[in-house]
Order: sequence, then C-alpha cells, then structure tokens
Amino acid sequence: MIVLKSSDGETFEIEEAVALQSQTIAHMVEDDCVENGIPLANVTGEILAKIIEYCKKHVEGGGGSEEELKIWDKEFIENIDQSTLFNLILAANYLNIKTLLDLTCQRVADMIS
Amino acid sequence: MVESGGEGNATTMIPDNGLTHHEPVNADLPPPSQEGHVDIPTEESVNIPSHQSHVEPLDAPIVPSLESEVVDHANSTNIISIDEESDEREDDDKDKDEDYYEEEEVEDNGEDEDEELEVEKDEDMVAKQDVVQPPSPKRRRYETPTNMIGSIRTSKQQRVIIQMESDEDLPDDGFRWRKYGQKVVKGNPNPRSPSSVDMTPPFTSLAPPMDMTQLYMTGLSMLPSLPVNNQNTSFMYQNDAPRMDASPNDMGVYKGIMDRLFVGIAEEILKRLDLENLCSVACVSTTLRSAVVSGVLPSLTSLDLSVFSPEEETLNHVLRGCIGVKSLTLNCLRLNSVAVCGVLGSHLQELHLLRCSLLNSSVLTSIGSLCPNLRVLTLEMADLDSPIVFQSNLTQLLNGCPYLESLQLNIRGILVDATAFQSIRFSLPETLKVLRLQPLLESEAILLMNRFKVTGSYLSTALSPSPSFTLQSLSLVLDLISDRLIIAITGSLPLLVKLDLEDRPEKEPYPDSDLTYTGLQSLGYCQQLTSLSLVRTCYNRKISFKRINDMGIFLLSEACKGLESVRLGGFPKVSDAGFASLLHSCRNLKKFEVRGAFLLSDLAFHDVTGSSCSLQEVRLSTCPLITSEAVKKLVLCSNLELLDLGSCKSISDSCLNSVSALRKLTSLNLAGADVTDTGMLALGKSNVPITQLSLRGCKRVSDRGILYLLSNEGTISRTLSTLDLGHMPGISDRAIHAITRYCKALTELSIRSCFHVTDSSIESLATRERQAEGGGKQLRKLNVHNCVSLTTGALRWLSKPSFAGLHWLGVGQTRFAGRKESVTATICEQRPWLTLCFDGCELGCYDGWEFHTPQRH
Repeated sequence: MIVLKSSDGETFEIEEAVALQSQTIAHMVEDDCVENGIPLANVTGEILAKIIEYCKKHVEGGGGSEEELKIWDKEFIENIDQSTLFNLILAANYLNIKTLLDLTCQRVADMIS
Repeated sequence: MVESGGEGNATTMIPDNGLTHHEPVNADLPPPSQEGHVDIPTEESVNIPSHQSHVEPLDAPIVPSLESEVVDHANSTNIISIDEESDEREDDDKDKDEDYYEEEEVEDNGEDEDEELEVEKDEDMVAKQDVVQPPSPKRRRYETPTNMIGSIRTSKQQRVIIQMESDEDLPDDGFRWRKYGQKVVKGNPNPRSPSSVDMTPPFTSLAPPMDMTQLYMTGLSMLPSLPVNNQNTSFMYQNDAPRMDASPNDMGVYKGIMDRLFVGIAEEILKRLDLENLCSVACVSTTLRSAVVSGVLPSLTSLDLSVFSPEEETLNHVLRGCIGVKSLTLNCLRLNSVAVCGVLGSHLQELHLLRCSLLNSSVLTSIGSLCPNLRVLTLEMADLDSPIVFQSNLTQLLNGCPYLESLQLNIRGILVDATAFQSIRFSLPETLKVLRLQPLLESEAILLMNRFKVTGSYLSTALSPSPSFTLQSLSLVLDLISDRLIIAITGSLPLLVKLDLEDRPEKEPYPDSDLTYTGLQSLGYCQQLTSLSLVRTCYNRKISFKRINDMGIFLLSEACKGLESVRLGGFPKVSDAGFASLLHSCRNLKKFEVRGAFLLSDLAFHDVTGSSCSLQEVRLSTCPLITSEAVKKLVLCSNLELLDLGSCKSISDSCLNSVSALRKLTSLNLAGADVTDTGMLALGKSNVPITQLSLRGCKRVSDRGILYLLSNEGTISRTLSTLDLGHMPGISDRAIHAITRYCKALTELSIRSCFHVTDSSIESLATRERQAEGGGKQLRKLNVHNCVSLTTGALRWLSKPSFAGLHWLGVGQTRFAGRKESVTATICEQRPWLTLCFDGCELGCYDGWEFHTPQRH
C-alpha cells in the first residue's frame, strides 16, 4: 500500500497497482523513496480524491469491460465543474497519468468546439 | 415527368429534365412537380470523394483503407446528389439543344471572361465581418488578452463582446481605465500570474502592424474544418470571438486555459481540436493564438482547404504557419501556376488540386520535378492545352514521381476527342494502386489494360506468379463501356477491388460493342471485387444499357458474391427478379444504388430480411414503381443510414411510419414523394437522428406538416442540419418561424421557389442567432432563389450583424435581383466573404467551377 499526502494534509492509502498508473509515482517507487508516504505538494485533497477514484476504476482488469469504462469515464468527466477540471488537468500532468490527461484535455477541447 | 412506363422502350422513358421542367425565367408559378433527377452524375459526384477519402495515414496500406474510401465516397456523393437534381435543370435550361458538356463549357467560359479574377474573395470571413475595419483603438483593445476576457465578464451577451469595446466604455484618453476584472496592460507592476505574463509581453512589441495581423487572422480564421468526424463537408465559420452560441460558461474555458494552464498543456488540448475550432481559438487572444501557431499548426500534417478558394496571398499566409504539412487539398479556382508551384515541395506526399481552372499542363511538369515523394495525386483541370503538350507534360510528371500510389486525373469538359491520356500507359509507375481517369476513350482504355496485362504476364511466367501492376481501384469515365473493355479489365487486373465505370455515349452503340451479359459474367474473374459501379448516362436518357436484362444481372450476382457496394445506372430492362437476385446473393451488401430503373418495384425487396440486412445506404432515384411497401421492407435493415428515394413519386405517408423505426438513419431524401402532413407527424414523433432531409417538391406538405415535424418530441429538430424545402407551395412564413425556433443545428436551408415566404421569414432567420440560448449553429447557406414574395425590405436583414455565419446566399429571380449591382454593393461591401449567387445555383453553386463573387471595392 502506498500513502499519498496532498498539499492540504490529507492522506490517502491506496494499493500499489492503483498508484502505479501515475508514472511519477511509479518512478518514485522505483527509486525507493516511498517509505513515509509520497507528498504531493501540487495537488489538493479534493483533486487527489478524484484522481484516486479514476485510477481505481482503471486499474488493470478490475474496472469492467471497455464499454463500461467508457460510459463511466463519460459520467466522471461530465459531472465536474470547470475549476475542478483544470485542476485535474494540472494534477494529471504532474502525476503523469496519460489516460486521465487525455480524457480531461479532450473534455476541454470538446467544450471549446 | 416520370410516368410508370412498364415496357422498356427507351424513347418513352423519362425525358430529360431540361426539356419539360425547367424553371421559368420570370417569376411565375413553378413547374408542377418535381421530376426525375437527371442521372448524369457530375464530375463532382464522382470526384469529390476522391479528395476526401485520401486523407489517410500514409503508413497504412492502401488496401484496408479502401473500405473507408468507399464509405466516404458514398457520403459525399449523397450530399451532392441532393443538390444536383435541380442543378441539372438549371443547366439544361440554358442550352437545351447542345450537348451536356458543351453546356458546361459555355457556362464556364462565360464566367471566366466576365469576372475579374484577381480581386474577389468569395467566402465570408466572419472574423472580418464582425471586426471589420475597426479603428485602431478598438483593434488594440481587442488584442489585449486578459483585458478582453476580463471585460467580457461584465457583459452577459456574447455578441456584445466586440461591440462592448466602444469608446463610451473605455474612453480613449491614452490611459487604460481600470474596470472590475480588467488589468492594466502596459507596464503592469504586479503581473497576475506567470503564465499570462509570459505569454503577453508588453503590448507594443507583440502586436504586429495592424494590417498584417488582420491578414494573418484572415488567413487563420479562414481555415475550414477538417472533415474528421462529420459527414457534412460544408464549410463552417466561427466568429472571431468565442462562439456566440456558447453558453457564458464557455468563456471561462478560454480564461481558464490561459490563466491556469501553462503552454504545454494548452497545446495538448488544442491539438485535439479540428481546424475550424483552432481558428476560433486563435482569434480569442494573442496568447491562444501563439499557442496555436507555434504549438499546433506546425504539427498539422494534413490540411484540407478545399471548401473555399483562396488567392495566392491568403494561401501563402495560411501555409506559412503549417510547415509540417504532408497532405494538402486545395481549391485552385483562383490560383495561377506561380501560386500553385509555391506550395509544392518534396515534403508533400499527398496532393489534391481541385478546380484548377487557370492552370495549364505545365503544372504537371512542376509537380514532377518538385514533388518526388508524392504518393497520392488528384488533379482537376480544364482543357487548356493541346493533347500533345498535355501528354508530354504528363509523362514528365509520371517519370518524376516514381512512388505514386494513387492517381486521379480529371479534365473537365472534353469527351469526344479525349486523347489526352493516350500515352499514359507507357509511363505509369508500377506502385499504382488507385487510378481514375476522366475522360478516356474506350479503345485507349483497352490498350491501357493490355499494357497492364503484358507486363503482368511477362513477369508471371518469367519470375513470379503475381502481376506487377497491383491496381486495386479503377475508375474510368469513358465514351463507351463495352464487353471487350470489361473483359480486358478483368483479364489484366485480377486483384481489382473496386471498379467504377461510367460512360456517356454519343450515339447508340453497335451490338458488338456494347455491354452484354458476357461482360457482366466476366466480372467474376475479379475474385476480390467489392465495389462495382456501372453507370450509363445520356442526355435525354435515350441511350442506356439496353442489352442487359435480368439474365445479365443473374450472372453478375452469381459471379460477384462478395460485392459490398453496387451502383447501377441506366439499366431500364432489368426487372425485380434481377435486382432481387443481386440483393439476395451479395450477403455483405452495404450500399445499393439504382438510378433510372423503371421496372424496379416493391417485389425486389420482399425478401430483404432474409438476405441483405447489412444494407447501410440505399438510393433508388427515379424508380417510379417504388412505393411505401418497398420502404416497409427496407426498414427491416436496421443499419440503414441513408435512404434516398428522390423522384419516386409513389411513395406515400405510410413509408414515413416505417422510417420512424430506423434508429440510425441520418439522411432522408423524399423529393417529389407523395407525402403529406400526416407523414410529417409520424416523422416528427420518432427518434430518427436525421441530419439531412429533403422534401423538395412535396406539394402536399404545408406549414402544419413542418410544425408537426419540428415541434414534437422527436429528435429531428435537434439533429437536422440540412433542410431542403424547395418548390413547396405549402411553405410559408409559419414554417420558417418554426424552423428558426426549433432547429438549432441547422446550417443549410433551401427554400427555393417557395412563393409564400416573405420578408418576415428572412427576419426571423436573421435574428435567429441572437435568440439562441446556447448550442445553436449558424446558418451557412441559404437559398431563396425565386422566392418572389421577398421584397427589398429583406435586404436590410442581409447586412450585419444578422446572418453572421452566412457564406453563401442564392438570391436569383427575386425582386431585388434585378438591381444586382446595388444589392451587391450594399451587402458585399460589409461582407466581402459572402458569395451571392444570382444564377440559380443550388446550395454552394453546382460543382464549384463558377466564379460567383461579389465585386470588390
């Protein structure tokens, strides 16, 4: 289990498989600096919670079929407000979660068009 | 007039539209009914797919993508075919006695000589029109990024954004007065956030001289959309402000992007937009513009500028930013050789030059020398050179591009003396997979096929079993299709996947040089054939495939069971049995098109559930025996996306009841059908996601029908984007008001010859955008040709700021058309990009070779 600490002090404990979807965290794990939990100074608790929700759903083989995942993603992304969306983008970029970044960027692109 | 001619006598078949039903020149009542659509396919209907379908990743092999080509082919064919029906009437109108092609040429030459070519820009650039020639202070304020966005917050109405920047709001005494949300531009001691400051250096150094900015933004904002996801290829403009129809929430998107996200992510987002939206984003602020220009444009590999016809200057501006372009589609109506050669280079792998009216064949030599890496080439040219010169230049082209995989050459206008491609067979590169030539003589075609065969068989006996020419798609427009031609084709090209033959014979072919069942049977040699199109068109429909009857089609269906797309035009003697056998034996049939089959009736479809449930597109044009019973059977194919029953006069309301069950139908053409308001009610209540609907000439549909269609709980009012209500005397202002109110997604509307449409309709259409609560689209093309109840009062609504997105307007034969110069002057001065057509063309002007442009002042 990996512990993530948000910028406002909240801690989240998640399984390694879920956390490894973030390349940043994956590198940290490789470099073996995760004993005391991983501080994420750029991410607030609220956003981190959302990200963890996403990652849990998308962990390999656990979330459901591709169709279900798509529907879930659609629900997920359409129910957040703009401010959260931008925060999510920045956080996904920082944590290097490609699929979430794609999803959020595409959402913004759709909002523009 | 389509009578139900039971017997197959050619001379009693549908007379050509032009002779009996042409639009009266004066404003009288329209012809009594919609008649058969002339099955002379224009170049457009056959050509446009070519440039659309070749935007494919070049690493992908050509063969698997042929499927998508076929899809695109039909999509765009369909879009055009709705329009071309009356187009044909117009042309035939002008010169009934001459040959079809000469008509076109006469028209064309007239246009060429009359218009000034260098001055007009015929497309509406919305960006310009809303910020047209602003005084400098206005312009500068507009360019300030966060300043402008901040000031938007204070106003709720989107349209007022530009107008907000008037002097009473911000008195121009040299200081930037602080308002809530605005920030000081020059020398701000406390920049708000790193990202916005980084992107906005002090104003003076950022802003280039005004005219360059305008020009550049002109160029950028003229970039039309890449036809990525949508079938509709009509050009869509954006306002240069964030979209008017966007909810106020969306303004925050731009602000959010600029304030919160840094450049890298912004580019990531922008890369996902298509060109149209990129342009509108670029117009929002300089921040975003530089993000687009530096981050996204250079990574564009494919650019499709085919929808408008740029001039050299504009073109260079546009291409300057797009340095990574490998695939280019251009409408060269106004480009001369110098301009075109300017875009050539060794980076190009795919090039489509359409409507090259000013180019002679020296451009071929240039392409050959400058683009050695070319893989895909499409050229539409006018007949400007002698055949010998053309041939030699063509040879140089082919020698210079040894890797060519797809070649499509279309010379407009000639047919009888078509020797331009005489020597092509000697220099075709062996990598060729797709070939389209128009026009070609049958004898030449046979020699070409023999050339393929000779090379093939030589290698096959000597070295390897496979032929050297692996041509997969062959499309020819000939003077005559004969048995020996087909036998030559199938003998030389056994790997053929797609065969598209069209002929336009001048006179009745002799028995030994016509198509008979032997030819059809030989098509079985091409084991991999999936797409077959045999069309014979003739002025007046006198000449058709008379020697093919049911037997021939039986043999065809036995021989080619793998067909997925079939188009048969000009087979008047084939009856239900033949067509049914085709439907039955081709299990994968997706596209079925029949034109002018006078013996085709409902019986052919009686067993359609058993066999062809994979049908996606069905076009039965000018088949007078088809009734709603056939439609009832057809709708059992639940994958049906396109249903074209143009000029099938026996279709009645019950067909609409059946159609309501289709869940995937997006295009429905009921021109000339016998539907009434009741049928409209059925359609209006259904959930059919129709985007293109044509009710042209449906005389029994009135305002009430349109109200039923749009104001009920069905989905059609939300999805409709192209609507054709031409020649319907029952349509009046009430219907137009309903359309304005309910159809938010409408972009093309044709109300030709609707005599009861008055100025108030124009008013409501014009003010439509202002009332849009969000999510509505702007009207792009409007056709009010021959709407005689319109007065000059309507002109008022054609000037700004109404009809903001309009870029094509057809106003021929209206009361103000007589004062063409003054009308042109008033409207076009304000809207230099609007195309005003006084000549009665269909939406978008026929096949695009006309120079309908306002005079530039």
